[in-house]
Amino acid sequence: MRATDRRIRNDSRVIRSEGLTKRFGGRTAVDDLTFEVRSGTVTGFLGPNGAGKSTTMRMIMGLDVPDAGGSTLNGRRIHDLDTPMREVGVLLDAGYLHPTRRAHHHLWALAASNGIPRSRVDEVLALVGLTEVADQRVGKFSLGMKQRLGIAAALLGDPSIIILDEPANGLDPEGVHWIRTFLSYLAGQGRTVFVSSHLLSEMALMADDLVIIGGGRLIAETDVRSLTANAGGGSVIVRGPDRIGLRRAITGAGGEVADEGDALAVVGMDAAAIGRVAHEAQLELHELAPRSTSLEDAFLQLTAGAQEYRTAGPAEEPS
Amino acid sequence: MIHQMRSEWIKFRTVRSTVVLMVLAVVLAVGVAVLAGFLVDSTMRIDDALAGVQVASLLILVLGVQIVGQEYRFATIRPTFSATPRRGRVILAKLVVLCVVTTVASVALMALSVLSAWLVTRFQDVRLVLSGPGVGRVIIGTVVVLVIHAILGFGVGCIVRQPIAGIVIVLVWVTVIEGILIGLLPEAVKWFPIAGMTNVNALVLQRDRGPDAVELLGPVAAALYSASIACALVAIGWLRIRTSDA
Ligand SMILES: Nc1ncnc2c1ncn2[C@@H]1O[C@H](COP(=O)(O)OP(=O)(O)OP(=O)(O)O)[C@@H](O)[C@H]1O
Ligand SMILES: [Mg+2]
Repeated sequence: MRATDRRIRNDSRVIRSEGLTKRFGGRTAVDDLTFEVRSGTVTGFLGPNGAGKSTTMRMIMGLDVPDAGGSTLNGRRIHDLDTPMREVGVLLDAGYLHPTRRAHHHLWALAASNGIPRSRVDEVLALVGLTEVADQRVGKFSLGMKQRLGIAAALLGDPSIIILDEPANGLDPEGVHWIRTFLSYLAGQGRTVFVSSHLLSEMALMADDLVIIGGGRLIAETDVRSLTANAGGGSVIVRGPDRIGLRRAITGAGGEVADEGDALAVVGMDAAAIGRVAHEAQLELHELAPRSTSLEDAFLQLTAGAQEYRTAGPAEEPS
Repeated sequence: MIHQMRSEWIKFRTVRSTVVLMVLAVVLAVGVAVLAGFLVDSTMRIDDALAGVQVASLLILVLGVQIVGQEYRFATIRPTFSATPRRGRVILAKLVVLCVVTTVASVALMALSVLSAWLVTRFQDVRLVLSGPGVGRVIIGTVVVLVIHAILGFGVGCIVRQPIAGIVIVLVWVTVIEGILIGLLPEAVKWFPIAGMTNVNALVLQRDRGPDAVELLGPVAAALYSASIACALVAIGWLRIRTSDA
């Protein structure tokens, strides 16, 4: 066991889930889900409503009991952690509060359970800007304030891993902005942030890696750059009789080329530049079409075709 | 474990419902003691003075349900179990806090009841007799009975994991089910976890319980019997909590 632990830690995969499966009644909410989150990254956990994101996060935290499979945090099962708050901070739902308990008492109780001193409670309250209302009952809090309190709770143990379930959900634009800024701040401190969302656009700005699920299954484990490339964010479809010649010319000019049926999908060059390259190489073109698919469309396509489409990473580069 | 116990104690004292229950228990204990002071003929004895504490035991049952049920009602059980994934520690810590609080509360309730009884009897033509055979055992017995109430409520709370349903169950059990069954089968009273145990104080005092009084278990046996049922309920609840989604 020890040896495995060390290997996993050196491997810098701080969250690992393997074969996670959860059924509610007859329905399978999470289906044989295997993925990893790399240390120090912001990893977006994407999927449409009902995809199984929250269920997966509850299983990672040991709250829901998986029907099969399991997860590790820093190479250890959560049940083996004596003071898990010092390793992983979690905010699943801002509403998990007792309405008649005061904000600082909520944090005191959590801190005490992991042997965290009370002075730390004041620190995290200040960090999220709740010092003024620390002695108010949380029943009176707005959603935005509850969210801040939830983040304060997640940070109590100064954890290296932070897990957040749709932290921007239901917040007003100001709240969303605050969450975004705060997540960037946390990531900037080198923490690993695993954050779920059903909006790719929300993640595209801040995430490094993406774990995309649909219908409880893994659709893609990728990073934002290659998803953008795959999805045609700025890609151009090029078609012509001499595919090999086109590919050589375009890659020679610095474009990235991927096969797409009998056409080529080019990233990194716009249509004008490709046209010029083709002209200079005296290659015939039948189609030169900037693709309009947005990132969001690509994501929808991915998640809609959950069954057939399974990839484990960026599209392979042609050699 | 000490961390979890500190955490549970903070949780216990920082919600309104537990504080309200405690205040209600004091009001009830004192109120009944005062009332008893007006109702008794010429002498007020320890069990008259403590009658209110017996009634307050209903609130202790409710408290036992609440301490675990509330966490499920407001889903704070999720942050709780995220912070302490070994659920047994949480359950045990809750149980310890509950029993300690109940012990302290029952001593305080008895003291306040006796004090009220003493004040009332001073202005009445009533003697307050606190000494006598078995008084010490009544006091200890009352603490034990209240703690068992707390554990019974806690067990039900762990099984039902819902405060409202849990409270209805324990109150209906005490007032309706045990009440009806005792009416139907008076000899079986000793086998009812709550009635059997609360009746033994009369036995301790060796009061004349009338010619057709039913047979009861001895005080220790009754306490052990009810305590085993309480522990069995907690064990069943614990099995449920351990194996279910939080
Ligand atoms: N406790 C439960 N009992 C029964 N079904 C559940 C339970 N929790 C989740 N489900 C079902 O499992 C599926 C996955 O739900 P989950 O909440 O994990 O999805 P999600 O990706 O978080 O969705 P959303 O974006 O809406 O938050 C859904 O069909 C949901 O109805
Ligand atoms: Mg969800």
